[in-house]
Amino acid sequence: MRDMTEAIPRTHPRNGSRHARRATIAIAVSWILLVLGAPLTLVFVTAFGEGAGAFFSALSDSEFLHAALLTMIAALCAVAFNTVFGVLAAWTVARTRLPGRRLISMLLDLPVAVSPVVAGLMFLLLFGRQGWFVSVLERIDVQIVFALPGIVIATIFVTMPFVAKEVLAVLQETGVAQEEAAATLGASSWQVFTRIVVPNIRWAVFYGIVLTAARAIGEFGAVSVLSGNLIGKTQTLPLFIERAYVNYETTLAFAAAVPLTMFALFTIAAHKLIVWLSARRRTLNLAEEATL
Amino acid sequence: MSTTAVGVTDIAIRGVSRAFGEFKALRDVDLEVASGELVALLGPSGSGKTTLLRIIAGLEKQDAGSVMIAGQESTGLASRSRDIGFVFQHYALFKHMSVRQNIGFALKMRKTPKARIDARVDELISLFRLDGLTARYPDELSGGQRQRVALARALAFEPRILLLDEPFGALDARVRQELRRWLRRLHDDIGVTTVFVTHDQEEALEVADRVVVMNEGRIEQIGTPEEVFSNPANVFVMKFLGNVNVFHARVEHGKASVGGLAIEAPGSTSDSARAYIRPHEMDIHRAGQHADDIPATVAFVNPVGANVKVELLTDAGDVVFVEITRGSYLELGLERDMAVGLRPRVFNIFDDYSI
Amino acid sequence: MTGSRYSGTLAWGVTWAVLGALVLLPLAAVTAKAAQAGPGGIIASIMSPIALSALTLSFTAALIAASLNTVMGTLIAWVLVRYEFFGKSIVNSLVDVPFALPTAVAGITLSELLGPTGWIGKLSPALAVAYAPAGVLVAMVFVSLPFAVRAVQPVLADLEADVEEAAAVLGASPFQVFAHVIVPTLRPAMLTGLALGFARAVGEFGSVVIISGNIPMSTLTGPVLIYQRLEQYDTVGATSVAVVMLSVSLVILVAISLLQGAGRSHA
Repeated sequence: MRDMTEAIPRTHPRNGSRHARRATIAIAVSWILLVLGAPLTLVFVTAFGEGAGAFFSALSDSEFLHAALLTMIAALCAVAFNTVFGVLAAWTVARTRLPGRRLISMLLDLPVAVSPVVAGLMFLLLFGRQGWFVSVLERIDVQIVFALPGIVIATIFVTMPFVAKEVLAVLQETGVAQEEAAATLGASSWQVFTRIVVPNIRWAVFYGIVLTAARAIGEFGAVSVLSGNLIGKTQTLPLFIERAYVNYETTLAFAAAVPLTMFALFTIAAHKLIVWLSARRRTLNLAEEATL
Repeated sequence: MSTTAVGVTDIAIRGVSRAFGEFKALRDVDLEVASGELVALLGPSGSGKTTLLRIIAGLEKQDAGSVMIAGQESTGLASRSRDIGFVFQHYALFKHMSVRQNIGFALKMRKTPKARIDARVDELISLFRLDGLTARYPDELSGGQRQRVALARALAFEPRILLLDEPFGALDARVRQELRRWLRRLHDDIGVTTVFVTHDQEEALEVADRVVVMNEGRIEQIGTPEEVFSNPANVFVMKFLGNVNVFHARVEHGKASVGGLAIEAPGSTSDSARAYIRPHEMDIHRAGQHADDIPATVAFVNPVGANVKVELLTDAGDVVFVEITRGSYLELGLERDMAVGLRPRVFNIFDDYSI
Repeated sequence: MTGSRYSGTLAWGVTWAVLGALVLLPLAAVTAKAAQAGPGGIIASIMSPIALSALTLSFTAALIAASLNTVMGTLIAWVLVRYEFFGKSIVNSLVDVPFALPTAVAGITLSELLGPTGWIGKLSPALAVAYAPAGVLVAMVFVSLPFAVRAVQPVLADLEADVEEAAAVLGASPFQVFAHVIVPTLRPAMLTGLALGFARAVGEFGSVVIISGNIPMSTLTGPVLIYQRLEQYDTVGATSVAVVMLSVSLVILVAISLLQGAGRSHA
């Protein structure tokens, strides 16, 4: 049994003097504001630098709209594919005893560890003009490289780990006890999955989806290689932004960056919300226990 | 405290208070510990015992009052300058260090020459029966072994005072028993002034020279195990140190009586009081043997063990627990639903009627 | 889960099918292409002055960025875990920005900031690092910062107060507590953060391609070189550089996996 006083946050005697503490905080906060805060602010300042009118006219540019649509299609495909795949992969690693689980876990890390350009190259070697599948693709008259399927495949590849990793963490943390309990109480494996597993992993799936979407709409390197960057055809939003910036259309580039930045901020807010909700549930449980 | 043994006072605590927000962990606590003593701080969760221990060690600051260690005012003195060994509840072993490195840590921090560290660590390893485990890491040790490493580590620099926070709390019952006696023997061998915190009254009564019973941030009683057990200062101490039955006593002419036994009750103003009686301080008689026995019925008998535990229901409707010897159990032929009479051999009444 | 044998096998099968098609098959294609070029061809291709300079820049800048972030990231994690201050939750959220922000946006923003007329660039010519190798470094620092912080933060938060207290009672000064207890405990996490940050930085394309100006022998990095060679239909040349970068990624993945194993047992 632990003393009640231990539930109260202790003052760390090791935190050093007040001055040292203030200096440390100042260094850390300055670094963050310089490296992260300044760029973030600049996006909005530059986008609205020539007034709201210029901003909105930039956003009604037809090339922009086409690029945005293409990005959304690719992101939706990636989310749909990787949500199903991610849950299956996480389940396989956490809940089966089948061989190769450690390797699955490692391979899942590969898309984030490898340069997106290298990823693009790998698919080019499969589907490109001299690729392995070129004859098959010609026979069935399907174009992958420099077309929508290439963009989708590239996006799926780079976003592959997110749902899987989030769900895997939760499955490993919750353990099998609840599922076994449900099974002993007469639930079929499908019922165990829908009644026990899904409720447990739903926030992880949600956050995984948010991460997948964020990464998908921002994907640049792999898509650059595979899409051919054809304006009005295979140009995604990040490619549009780069092209605009290189062409000295700074306001247009930054205006187009605003929705992407907003989505990035939304991603972070969604994460905070999930963390906050689960923390609150835990505190409520503790409070209930304390009153019993 | 006037009960302090003669000799040098190693720890002197005067008027120490500590609050965590609204929660008052310690309220104006005074305590003295003599050199070479083995003292237990005993109390339930939230009684302030761990806070008091941490204040002695300098891990927590008191809001008011003073702590003197070996006659020196130590308020504001860092833990590392207090000459104190501390054993943490969950041992707090350094996971990235071997047993040998853990035990040698304090000497290394004091820049002791390596040869001296090695000699001292070897000495402790044989004293604490850790031979063969020196290269292991904490995850590779059993609970009892970790505990011994934690003790060896705390004693390596030969501190004046040893403090232990629930030293046996994380061990299973059998290992616990064994280590308890071993701690007592160790203390007798090396004689270091020792204070330990526990919530287990058996542990405190078995191991300590003196027991400090704490509740809600206050010291309820200080005394030898015999004193606190036999002459509890108040209802809290009596209840905390063992099972207790509560009866209504009649108070007449300065005497309180229960079931034919009357004791002096000076100063009581009410005509009734609560009498507190331990299970082993009552006898069971055949029904009708004495007119003033408390009439009761046997509800349950547990005949397993050295003593027989009997649960009874008085005619007044109270549940009473009594422990009798196996001999009297056989002689009475107790069984369920048998009508009997109860008589206390001794009981306590306290001034604090309100509790 | 006894009842789910078939569903387990199905999940296993689907997982491997997808990994096979989307990860193993592409890896095989690169390996085959590299084998086709042969060791001589690859070495010749990466030993060209431009390739050598690009790879050197990528690896040096990524190592500097990841090391700098390991120091700053540990400091930031420390401040976020141990101290309370105004705006802490905003600072904590900002850390994730490079994870979530598209790299193209990071690229144009950093170029703007560090260009000769940017907020920072106009302060001094020395700070106007867009289109200079230092600009590549800045982009890498930006994209890899969260890895260091997020690797160390949970370990620091889980560090039991009693272990530090034990060290203090045993006579360690605050600095000794830090050096002998905290740093060894954090080491696996710091190295993991370093490895992840390095992998991210070395492979970074979007922000680097925009901020660097891609000047051969100066600001051209490995990934950008792969891209340029592909544009020139030099598939073998691109593959050669890719094989080097891919090998480094794989080594890092294995290292991280080992580090996490080590983190579980002794630290």
